[in-house]
Amino acid sequence: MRFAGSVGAILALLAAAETAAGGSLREQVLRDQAIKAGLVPVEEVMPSFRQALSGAGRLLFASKELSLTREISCQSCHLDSFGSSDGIPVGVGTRGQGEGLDRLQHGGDFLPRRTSPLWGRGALGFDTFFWDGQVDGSGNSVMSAFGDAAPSSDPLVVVAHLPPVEIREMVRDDEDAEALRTETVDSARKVYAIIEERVRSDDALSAALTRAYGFDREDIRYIHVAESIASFIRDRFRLQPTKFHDFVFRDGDLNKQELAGGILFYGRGRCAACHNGPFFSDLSFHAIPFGQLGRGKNGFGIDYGRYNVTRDPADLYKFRTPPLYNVIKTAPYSHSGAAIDLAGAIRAHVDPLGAAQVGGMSAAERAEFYRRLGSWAGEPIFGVELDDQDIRDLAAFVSALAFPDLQAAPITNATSRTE
Amino acid sequence: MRAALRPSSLLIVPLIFLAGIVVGQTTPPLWKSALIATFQTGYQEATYRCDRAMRNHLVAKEQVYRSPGKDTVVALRAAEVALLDCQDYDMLRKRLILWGLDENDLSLMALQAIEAKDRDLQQVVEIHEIRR
Repeated sequence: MRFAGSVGAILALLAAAETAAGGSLREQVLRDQAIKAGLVPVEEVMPSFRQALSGAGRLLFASKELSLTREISCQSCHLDSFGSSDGIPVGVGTRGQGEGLDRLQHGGDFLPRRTSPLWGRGALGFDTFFWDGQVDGSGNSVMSAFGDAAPSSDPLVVVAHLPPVEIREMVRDDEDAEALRTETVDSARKVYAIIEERVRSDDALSAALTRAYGFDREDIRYIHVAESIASFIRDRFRLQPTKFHDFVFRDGDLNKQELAGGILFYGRGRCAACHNGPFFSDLSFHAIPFGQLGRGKNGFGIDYGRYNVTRDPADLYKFRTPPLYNVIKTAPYSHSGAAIDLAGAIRAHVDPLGAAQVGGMSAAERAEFYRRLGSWAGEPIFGVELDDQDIRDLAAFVSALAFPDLQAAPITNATSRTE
Repeated sequence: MRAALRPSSLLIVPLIFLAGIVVGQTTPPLWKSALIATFQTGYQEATYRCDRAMRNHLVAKEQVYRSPGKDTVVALRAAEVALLDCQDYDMLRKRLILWGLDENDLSLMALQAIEAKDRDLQQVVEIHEIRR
């Protein structure tokens, strides 16, 4: 019996030695692949911003004066406690109350898509915004709903123009907003004029803006509001080095599971085909057949994604690759928030049938699902095989893309570059 | 009393010798069986993973050859990283040889791996058919 026990112990030791082998090769491969896939030290994408504008932007970000009915601010849906998102599948705009599940349960005007986190959105090179890329600064000019009349050449400033004029987001969908319901540039200008007047009348907001710009409060225009909010986003939500950055650029350590997940991420899992570059996103558009919660942008539980912007049938069901910073903090996942945890989100990339409740679908839902699967069939990740252990390893790896102390991200600090 | 013990004492040496033979003859097979039992599942998985990585790498190389471009090159790079699975397979194989298994034992484990992963007779035929 003792002999058998000894043999067992020896075998267990041998097995453990076997699984521990090859670590250094894997570490080197992972470092090389991360750099080849475009990862750079965060300092290289650190944006310029004016700290005085950031200070004004912080006040404006939290101010409900930006919504016509004074009921919602940017901060209502971009919360620290949910990794700068809101923790619920789709956003709740006007008429919403509370945070997280409370907001969901209270109800209000539901938005068609998930609230995006803001980390890295102001970084150098981050030029494509929203799930469908409706603001795109990747070309020579900023493409947006403003057409040729984009209010700024800075796409993030253009982004800061949109939520206050978006029906159900910061404008109520009711008779009072009838004149604004067209969501045209002209109706947007009317909203901006109202907000400008409110900001001029608010002592704290106007003082912050006049101090930042060095002009009188009568000179305040919405562009100054938007520039300030953009500066605040660049400052408050800027990237910080993660455990993986330390591993790649400072010879830091990853644990065994994170290392295995990293090798999968850049290898067999083919995640880095889309989740690449400084933001773990190619800022391009791909079709992953997540479930569709809510009514969807196109109604009846349908969301055509990028197609709504380009009208190109090749873009049907495609959404911008989401960056992965702090992804562990930003559940639920996907444009519709259909994946409640990281494992579910990863599984949906490779095994949508495993996640879908196909049996309970109507004929229309099934047809819609098949169309999404058809678009997915052209994606790099199509046909990738991941078992449960692989998915756990990948989840461990992407968890290493979190900032060490998310809550402690400073509002401003001396290390940030200023104009 | 002493006379009664004497024959037993005389037997001790041959008994030890015999026990040595028995232990010497039985331990290697037992050790091998224990090794095989311990590593069979892991070896099966490693065999499958390496096979999968090689197949995917071959397809990725063909894709680059047929339609060279950024996407196919990125896919090939990912397939190359995935070949680490074959490094794992080779390392495990070498270790098992070092620890006492021979090529026959490993071939048996590989065949069991194929049977475990593949229920298709075709693969068995491909392994065993005589090729001209």
